[in-house]
Amino acid sequence: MHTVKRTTAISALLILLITSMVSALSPEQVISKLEENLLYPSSRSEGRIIINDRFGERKSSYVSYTSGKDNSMVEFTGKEEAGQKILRLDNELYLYYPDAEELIRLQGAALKQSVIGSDMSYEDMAGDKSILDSYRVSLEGEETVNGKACYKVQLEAKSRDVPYQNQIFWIDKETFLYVKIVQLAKSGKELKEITVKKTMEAEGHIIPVDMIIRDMLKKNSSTEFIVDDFEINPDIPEGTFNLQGLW
Amino acid sequence: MKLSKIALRNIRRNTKRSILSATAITVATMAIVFMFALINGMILDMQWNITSYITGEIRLHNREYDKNEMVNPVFLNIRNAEEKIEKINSLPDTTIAVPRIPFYAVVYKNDKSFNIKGVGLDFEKEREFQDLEKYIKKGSIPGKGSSGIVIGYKLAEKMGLGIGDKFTVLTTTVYRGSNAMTFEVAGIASFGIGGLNGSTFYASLPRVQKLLKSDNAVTEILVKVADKTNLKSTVGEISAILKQMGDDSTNVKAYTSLDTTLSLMSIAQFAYDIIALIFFILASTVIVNTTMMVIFERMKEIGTISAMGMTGGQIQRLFFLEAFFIGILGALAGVIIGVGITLPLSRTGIDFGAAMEGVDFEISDIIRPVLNIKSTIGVFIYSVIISSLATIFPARKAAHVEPVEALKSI
Repeated sequence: MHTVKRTTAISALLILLITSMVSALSPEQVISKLEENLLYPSSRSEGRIIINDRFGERKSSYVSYTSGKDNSMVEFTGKEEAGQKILRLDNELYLYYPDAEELIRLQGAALKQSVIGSDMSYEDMAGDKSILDSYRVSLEGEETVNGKACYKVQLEAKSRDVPYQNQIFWIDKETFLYVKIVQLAKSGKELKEITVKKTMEAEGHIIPVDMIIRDMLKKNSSTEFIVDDFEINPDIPEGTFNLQGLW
Repeated sequence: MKLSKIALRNIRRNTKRSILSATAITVATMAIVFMFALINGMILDMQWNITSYITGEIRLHNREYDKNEMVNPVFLNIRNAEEKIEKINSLPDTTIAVPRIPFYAVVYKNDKSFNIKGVGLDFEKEREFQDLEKYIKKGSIPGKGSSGIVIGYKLAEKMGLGIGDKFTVLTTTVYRGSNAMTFEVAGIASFGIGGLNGSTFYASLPRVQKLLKSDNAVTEILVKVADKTNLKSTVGEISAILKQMGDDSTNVKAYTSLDTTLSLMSIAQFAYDIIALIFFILASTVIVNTTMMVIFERMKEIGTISAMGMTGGQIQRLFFLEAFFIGILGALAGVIIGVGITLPLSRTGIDFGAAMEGVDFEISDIIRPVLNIKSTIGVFIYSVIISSLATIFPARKAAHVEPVEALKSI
């Protein structure tokens, strides 16, 4: 009788172990799923930006288009930045200002400048490599963030040509969208924090539609990006992704 | 015979020695006159540069501007600037008030970035305020509202810009967003302050207001006054105008009360005082040395007149009078030659450009010495006194030497 009980217990334990081994994802797989979720052929979004700094709050708005993971174009539509555009072609960034007679190509240290005074920098918009190409990843455990069970994944840069040497992603175990990201310098100093407040589903993809970025080097500063309209595979105006199309 | 007559006769009797003695006093006096004029010129030049390029004699700023200056706070501005300037200009004590918007910007050109400083201003008013025309090396001052700019010659060199070339600046707007605008080089200037030449460009106020999206606001109003000794009361009058207009966010300050200016001026004043003091001591040493040598050389003569019955006190007075007369002649000649050298140089100036290379101080490359009548008269009197007093010690010593001893000293 005892032998039967022991055999049953061992079998149950083995089944549990095997099941958990099969279902456990490697950190690379978690990141791949995160990237898969955020990759779509093309998109169009419209939204608002609320910037808070020590001098007060201000608002802007934008329309943005993406094509694959390498091309994007953002046009600001708020009164103060009306007509200003940021075009990303592969790993190149160009700024268009209606009052300027030439485009500004950003590179090097210039990419660290803030986008319209927000907490986001131009280098946050650049970079054509996948996370796994640029970072070594490791699973640091599981934590609940904003009420969501998350994988905690640590990213360590493989080279110096990335904006952040270390990052920690908290990735929703269900949707595989990040819930929170902390971006750090090599010294461990916190540089930026991104928190997703709200998401939506579009054609099988989970999209962050309310997100707060905080530049930790600025005092009392935060920027909220709110997506009001999002469409996958939209009609994109001709010339959106070429330099001539900016004029 | 009167001692003064003997003294004059002694001077005439040994012309070479008298000329040598007077020449030393002349050279020292001339050098002091010139040096004082040069230092006076440097101080006035620095004052003019600071008040014309940076602070005005009175500056109006947003109350919060100074403590946020490092973050390019173009949004901390003065509204309805035109109306305020008009009222300030109508005050009897003010000569001119000008609007300005200094701002920091970056230029990306040929894969390089340049951090530069722009100043939006009214070119027509600045012709008078900072004598702008005088500093244009190439090209001309742009017309009102044009996209033309005046750029410091060193900055133009660094960026590879010539007249007619264009460049685009990226900066922060009053909404703390960004904007860029293209400007065309209309004039290349050699500003009075070396630091400005390598970092600054001037653009027309309406263009900069468009770039910064600041409507009719400006960041500062700079004022010049007729009487600098009356700055405090003019500051009070301007403050009263602002209060009348319901503006309680603008500060009015005389340049003498601005921390930065004051520290710059006090550092400069201290440095100049030290230079003047060293020079003064050196020149005085020449006078004292020459006078003493002349007396010590005349020991035999002292012995003779002493043996003839002249008392110690009379000998002392005799040498004092000789030195006094030679001092008057030498100092007068020194003042005349010093003024003669200084006057033409005060018009043409002395070019310290090469010596000032790389020095970021509010002083011009070309310095014009400025004569100060009071100090020139003071230098004359000082030279006479110092050459006369220089006789006391050696003459006293000589007067106490026994005639026999004095006659042996040959």
